[in-house]
Amino acid sequence: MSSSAAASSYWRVAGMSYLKYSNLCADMVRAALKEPFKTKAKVREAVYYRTAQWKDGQPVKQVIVDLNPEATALSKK
Amino acid sequence: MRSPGEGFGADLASDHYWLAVSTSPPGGLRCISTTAVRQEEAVKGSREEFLEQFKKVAPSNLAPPRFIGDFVPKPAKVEGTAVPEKLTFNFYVPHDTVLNKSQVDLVLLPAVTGDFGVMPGHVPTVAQLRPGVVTVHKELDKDVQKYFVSSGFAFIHADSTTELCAVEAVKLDELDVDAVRSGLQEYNAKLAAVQAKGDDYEIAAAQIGVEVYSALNSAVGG
Repeated sequence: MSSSAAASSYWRVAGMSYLKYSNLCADMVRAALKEPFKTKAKVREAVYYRTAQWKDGQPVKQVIVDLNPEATALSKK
Repeated sequence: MRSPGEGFGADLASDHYWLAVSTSPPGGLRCISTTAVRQEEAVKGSREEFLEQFKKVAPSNLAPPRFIGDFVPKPAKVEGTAVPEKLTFNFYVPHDTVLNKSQVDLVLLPAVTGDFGVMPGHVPTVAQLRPGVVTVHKELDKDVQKYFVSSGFAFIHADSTTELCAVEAVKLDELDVDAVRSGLQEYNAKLAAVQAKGDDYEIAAAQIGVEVYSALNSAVGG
């Protein structure tokens, strides 16, 4: 099997990485799902992290950064 | 088999790269052989020849060099063993294990270079998948499961094990036919719109949309 076909893909030429390409494809497939499955797939997309600033060896203030509030709201339901 | 003089680049990666740089190799120029046996012989022979030459010129307290082959694990011998009746199929997505060590008859995969089927005893290969339908025949033409994969890779091993890794894999009946049809129209329109603007990245994104939704559309029988 030749790798040249994949190496010169149009998305590669346009400066897209494989990771970007595959995630884009996955997003589109998820968008075409039926209802119970669509919500389930959305819930998986929830991403958040907690940061804290440190002062004198103690955490001062904690901030939760939510990268996908929509999905997080769904996962809490 | 390559013609003499070709394959210098490949030689550099193997144990007997010195043949390419030595002025008068004892056995003449040798290329990478196509069969594993020949390669093994060539590597072994050239290694001995090399060490012999090395001893002549090296100081007595210098240890002989190590070869790349010393650090690479030996491939398992598969020749001679019988081909199992069933294919061991692993199907993984990041959030789920779709099939784990499932014993199947046939798997049909949508590779970028074209669809192909995997049965027990398939030659080892790695294939990049395009958005399309993966058909798993647990029992040939009797127990058949179909999944839509967004993209991914398939690894076919010599021991009749096949691995499939995809970012998203859904059963065909989980797809919304109306969403697929409207999505295809939407991305076709979007592609035409961004092509007028001429931004390569946007065009590629819309092109992917058309590709994915065309595949989805044919998967749901539209």
